[in-house]
Amino acid sequence: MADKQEMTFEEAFQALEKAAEALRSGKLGLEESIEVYDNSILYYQRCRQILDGAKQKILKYDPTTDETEEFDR
Amino acid sequence: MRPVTVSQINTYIKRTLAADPILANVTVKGEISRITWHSSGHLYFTLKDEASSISCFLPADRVQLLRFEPAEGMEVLATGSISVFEKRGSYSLNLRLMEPEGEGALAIAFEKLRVKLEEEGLFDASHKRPIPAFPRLIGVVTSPTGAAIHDIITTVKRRDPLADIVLYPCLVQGDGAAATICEGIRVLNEKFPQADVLIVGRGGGSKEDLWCFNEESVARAVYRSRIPVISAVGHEVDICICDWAADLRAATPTAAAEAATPDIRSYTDAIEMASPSRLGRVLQAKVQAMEDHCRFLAQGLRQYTESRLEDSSYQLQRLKETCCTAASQLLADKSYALDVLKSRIDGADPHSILDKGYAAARTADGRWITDADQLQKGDRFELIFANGTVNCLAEGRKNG
Repeated sequence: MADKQEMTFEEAFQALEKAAEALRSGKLGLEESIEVYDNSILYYQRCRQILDGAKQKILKYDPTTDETEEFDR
Repeated sequence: MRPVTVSQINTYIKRTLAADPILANVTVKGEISRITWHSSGHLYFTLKDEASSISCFLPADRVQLLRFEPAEGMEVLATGSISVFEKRGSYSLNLRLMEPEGEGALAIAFEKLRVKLEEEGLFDASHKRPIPAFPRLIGVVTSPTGAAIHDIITTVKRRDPLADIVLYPCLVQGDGAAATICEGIRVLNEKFPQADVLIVGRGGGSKEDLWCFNEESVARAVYRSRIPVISAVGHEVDICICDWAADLRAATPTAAAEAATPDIRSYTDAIEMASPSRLGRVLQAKVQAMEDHCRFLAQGLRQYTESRLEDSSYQLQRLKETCCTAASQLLADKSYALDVLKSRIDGADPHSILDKGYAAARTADGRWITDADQLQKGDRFELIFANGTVNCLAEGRKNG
């Protein structure tokens, strides 16, 4: 697994879902459960970090200057 | 009037017609026939009505700008000027513009282009690419002032705060619109290759307004795009060539924005369902269950051990008793055997003979004397009695 701090939202979300599913299935041993749980915290934090830090940009490309600027409707 | 040459009359006609303001810019309505595509790209055909016909010429650079595929039998409005070909004394209509005339002609043009591009494979399902689930950048090719961009931005903002938008402003109707749409698709591919998806389209309008999205150049630009394209032209009922060439057709710009983005709210719900505290409870329940199980096992084990211990203790007792019995028996047997042996030994003890009054003789150096010949006169020897030893001297021998 790549560095959890570098994961995209999609990767972190999918990893979190998988961890949650594995934990809820009850099929894991205790040690494995604890490891999966520890990882799930990091995935959760990564998801939240991305969501909370989202600064959506709406840009317009100007073909005459080859530059982008904030699009103001 | 004196006669003139053929050249002179043709030159005169040419000059006269060129001076006529009507003939310099006239739009003629008619039906296309005898269409000929020249290898240079020029287009030659005849425009006709029930009673008459006129030769027409459309130069290659103008053919490029046509917004439809001309075909036999198609009604068109052709705009240009009358030009005289002096060498042959003929004239033709030199065209600058040509538009399909009426619903029928539009439908024919549309169908003809659709079939052509379909045969070329521009609409093949195998060419369709999936739209990424979590776009980080959405490219939009549409008018900066139309309803479409407004709907797209509103929808993307509502659904997915993680997706950025970059708009390429283009014309979405009228002359030159198709060219700017093509340019937009090309430029976004080139300048923003990291874009996950493009939305190409516009809001609702008349068939003519939407026509640029039926143009061949737009369909080809969409097909060539390395970034997957969602086509969103007009309303639900409007289907255009661009829709078929795109990776996904959306009924409206809003629908396109929905198709391009995940609804993050449903994901945030799922994330909270997997929060550390919730999953912690799952883990806690597991630990509790394991503890209970361990306790149950321990209890069972203790019971088992105790019962085994009891069994073993009883068996040990039994074994001990058996051993003791066997040992006593053995001891008694051995004791008896010893008594028997002792009595035998007692019988063989030389002392018992001495007790009866016999004595044993021994030389001074300790050898037993069992023969009279062992002693000579003057030898010293010992006589051993039951209660002591006497030193003796042999004085002589008596045979007998």
